Amino acid sequence: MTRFDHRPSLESTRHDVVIVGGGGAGLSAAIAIAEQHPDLSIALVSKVVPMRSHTVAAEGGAAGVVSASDGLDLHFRDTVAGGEWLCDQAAVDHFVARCADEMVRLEHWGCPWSRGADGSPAVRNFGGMSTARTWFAADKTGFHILHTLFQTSLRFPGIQRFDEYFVHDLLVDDGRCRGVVAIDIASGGFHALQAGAVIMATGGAGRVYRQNTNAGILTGDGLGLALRHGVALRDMEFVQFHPTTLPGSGLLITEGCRGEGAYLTNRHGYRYLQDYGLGPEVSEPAPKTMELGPRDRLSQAFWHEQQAGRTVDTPNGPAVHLELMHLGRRKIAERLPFISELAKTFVGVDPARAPIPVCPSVHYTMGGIATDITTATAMPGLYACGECASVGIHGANRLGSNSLAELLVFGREAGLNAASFVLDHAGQGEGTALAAQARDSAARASAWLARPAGGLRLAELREQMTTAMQDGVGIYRDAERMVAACETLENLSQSLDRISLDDRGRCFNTEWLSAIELGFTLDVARCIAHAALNRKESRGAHQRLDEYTQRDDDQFLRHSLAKLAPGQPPQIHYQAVNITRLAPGERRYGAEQTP
Amino acid sequence: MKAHYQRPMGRWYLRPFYLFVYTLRELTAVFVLLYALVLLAGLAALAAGPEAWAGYRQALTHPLSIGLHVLILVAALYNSITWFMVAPKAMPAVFIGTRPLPGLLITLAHIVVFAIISVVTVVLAGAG
Amino acid sequence: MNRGNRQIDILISRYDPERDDQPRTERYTVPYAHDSSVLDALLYIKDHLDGSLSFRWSCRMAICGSCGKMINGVPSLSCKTFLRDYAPGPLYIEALHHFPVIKDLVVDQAGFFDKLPESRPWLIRDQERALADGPHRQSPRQRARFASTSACINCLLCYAACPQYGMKPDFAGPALLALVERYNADSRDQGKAERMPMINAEDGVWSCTLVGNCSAVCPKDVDPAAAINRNKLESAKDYFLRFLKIGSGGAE
Repeated sequence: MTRFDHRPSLESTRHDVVIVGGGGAGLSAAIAIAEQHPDLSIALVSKVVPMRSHTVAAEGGAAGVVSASDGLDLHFRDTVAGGEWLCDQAAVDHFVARCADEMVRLEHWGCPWSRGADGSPAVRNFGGMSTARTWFAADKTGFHILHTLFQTSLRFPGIQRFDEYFVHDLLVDDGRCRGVVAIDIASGGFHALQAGAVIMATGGAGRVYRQNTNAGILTGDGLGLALRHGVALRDMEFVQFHPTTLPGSGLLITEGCRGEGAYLTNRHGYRYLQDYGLGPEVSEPAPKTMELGPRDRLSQAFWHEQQAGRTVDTPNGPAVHLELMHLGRRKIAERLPFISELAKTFVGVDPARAPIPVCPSVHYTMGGIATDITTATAMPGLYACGECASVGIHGANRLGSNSLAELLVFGREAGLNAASFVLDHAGQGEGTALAAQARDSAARASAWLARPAGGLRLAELREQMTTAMQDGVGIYRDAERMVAACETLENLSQSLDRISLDDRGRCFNTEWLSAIELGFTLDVARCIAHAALNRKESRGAHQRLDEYTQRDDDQFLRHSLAKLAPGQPPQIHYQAVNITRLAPGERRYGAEQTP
Repeated sequence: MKAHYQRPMGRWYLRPFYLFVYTLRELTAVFVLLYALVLLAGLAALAAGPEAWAGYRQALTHPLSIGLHVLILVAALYNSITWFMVAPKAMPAVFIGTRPLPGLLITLAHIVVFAIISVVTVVLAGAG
Repeated sequence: MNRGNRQIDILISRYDPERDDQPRTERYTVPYAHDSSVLDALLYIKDHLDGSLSFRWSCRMAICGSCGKMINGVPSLSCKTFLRDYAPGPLYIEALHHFPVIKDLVVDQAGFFDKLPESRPWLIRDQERALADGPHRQSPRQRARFASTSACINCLLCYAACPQYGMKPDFAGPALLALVERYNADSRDQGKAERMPMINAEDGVWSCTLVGNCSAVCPKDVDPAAAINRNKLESAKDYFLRFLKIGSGGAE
């Protein structure tokens, strides 16, 4: 029996817009198009069924200014200062003005926001935010947002889903993005989806690191695809370490815990954050103070505690304690039921009785595919939104609860702008060149299955990559270790085509997909490492221990842009930051904070 | 590409154990029906006259009849209690504030009421 | 990740449509620690022993709903089932029952997803509310009414636990009917009448015989059995009311 068909099937369909990724950003884009342009055909392509996307795992909430005492300007200032002025200020203004509308829209679609006694949606405190403006649905906000979006999307016949289709290439004609080529995972056949515009909404690349909060699917596919077609990635050196995750597994313990009043203590039971410019020690949650400091500062404080030997040892490495006991069982059950379940299941701790051991893990890719404020990339017809994109609102450090808001605001934006692009460029379709391109791409992907046995093992390469990143490009960095990481990554990149697969079949061959994913992940890792090595300053989540421990606005108040040419290390360029109204200043938290 | 594999159902009503518990619950309904027939026969005997009624009462004391009644009692108890266990799922939801009333409480309430009615019935029957 | 120094044998039901007519069982030995999940074991096998083993997984934290398997005959999420509870082993892993197997531990979920749109699982309003009108009011008590049914992660363990679904693949099934109840019970929704035909249908609530096993295996306490059986009451009421209406209509 033939186990491997050298001439794989290649189907082809035409659509107006192809959206890659079915998480919060992709679904927002799809619904926005379907609502505004019911006659456009939308293909929603995702390597998992949409509700499996990682938006589902977001816990704490989504920012949106609603209360009378709050204001858009405050949200703007928190975000820009939180990002250590590396934010595009026009994009931030655009963003903060639209957040609350998106939360209300979701409410109208049925999202079960937690409520105050008067029946209006409740908001909670979050790190780095100067007032409570984070909308939440208990501690499963992402889950509820994703399921609300997914279920709402079922209303629209214009949205055609391609569930469990793995996009492995873009179709590009004359410099313009014209569609994608995907593997139908169940059959292993190929499918070319031609389109007037393509939206990337593939999420981040947390799997670049060994210990992360991310799902297995977050392999940076969208970033890798963009890179290979000459589109730059921006600010990739800024990788967010979330300060409270479970040691070993990296599972997320939401910032919402601290928003509700949880304490972080070291092995002596001391609330150590007061030693890192975040005090005074307060017993009730106070904005931008102590446990409600920004994520970069909290993760860095952990590192210092660890160096000083004040962390707690667990079988999976050092940790500090996240104390919720004083919140009481009732509040924990109402506001943090999922955290309670996670702690009991995965570390055997009942948070109403004992502290949860936590440590920082890689959480969020703050950089991404460079886009302008309209989510358009440098390639006509290619848009990007959500975590895979860098529209410029996060800068050097993202504030918690800005990312769920981002994928709603800019997901919608991407949908509407891509639709306009399609309508403006109607009637310019060209099929034959694309068909040949799709065939070539399918043949290249198929080549994986024909490789000789006895080569390298996929998992070993992946482990070397994640170890290199974890060791070389962590919370604190220095030139020596970053250089070593860069070298390892370049070598791994050369070794990629010496991998051989155990599975040569086509049907649901996840090993094959993992191999293609590893190619994307490695390219993203290389960009992160090189961008980090080149940024000779310390800012936000990029902190150096060598001679560049200070922020250097003269040289580096600039975005990095990473590009990749075949066979060469990534090239890093710089781009000016769009500063419209808030001049660079000092980030201050705790007692010294300025609004 | 060959078709997907569809696993046959097999003897699902015997294994796993929790499905056997369900199968038994459904089967014990037969014994409840049997007892209804016994009662119906009693009613028919009562209507037919004193002799038939005496005969019916005589038949009830036969060891076979007593054996059958013990069996029916056990089956009916199993049937009732397993149904009480699923009762919280078959009735409208009851909330106290924002918290649903625990199902175990509803089941226990059913069992307690059942026990009280049984005792009262036995006492009344004894008195009569 | 701490791999541990204990070992356990795992039997896995494998099926490759490109070479097998019937599933076959393969045995693997994996190391484990106190906190190793069944998913960790599957990943270990895939990475180090046999890359051809196919299974779905993603979030690792029991919220994405991808990794349901039969573990020793019980539908379970492999990420929150721990090897320590099966020592000394072996443990037996199969694809979720009642669904067609695509490959190894991967099943065809169309029996659920294809039925989703007809249950109209979205908020239905007589008149759509404008953004400018702001959010609806909904008290914490009203929200509590659908808190459990809105917690469904679509992991489909309940379908693998339901013999009725196994015998009648057209049965809407536990998760779908729980979702219907989720929107019907939402104080903001006005679409109950639109969903009634689906509830009343032969393959709606009346195909359920209250085995109750769906609720027993649910990893998120959705209690689909309750959602379904409460809707039997609704369905009966609906039937009775329509019966009266037709009755009165005939009398005029």
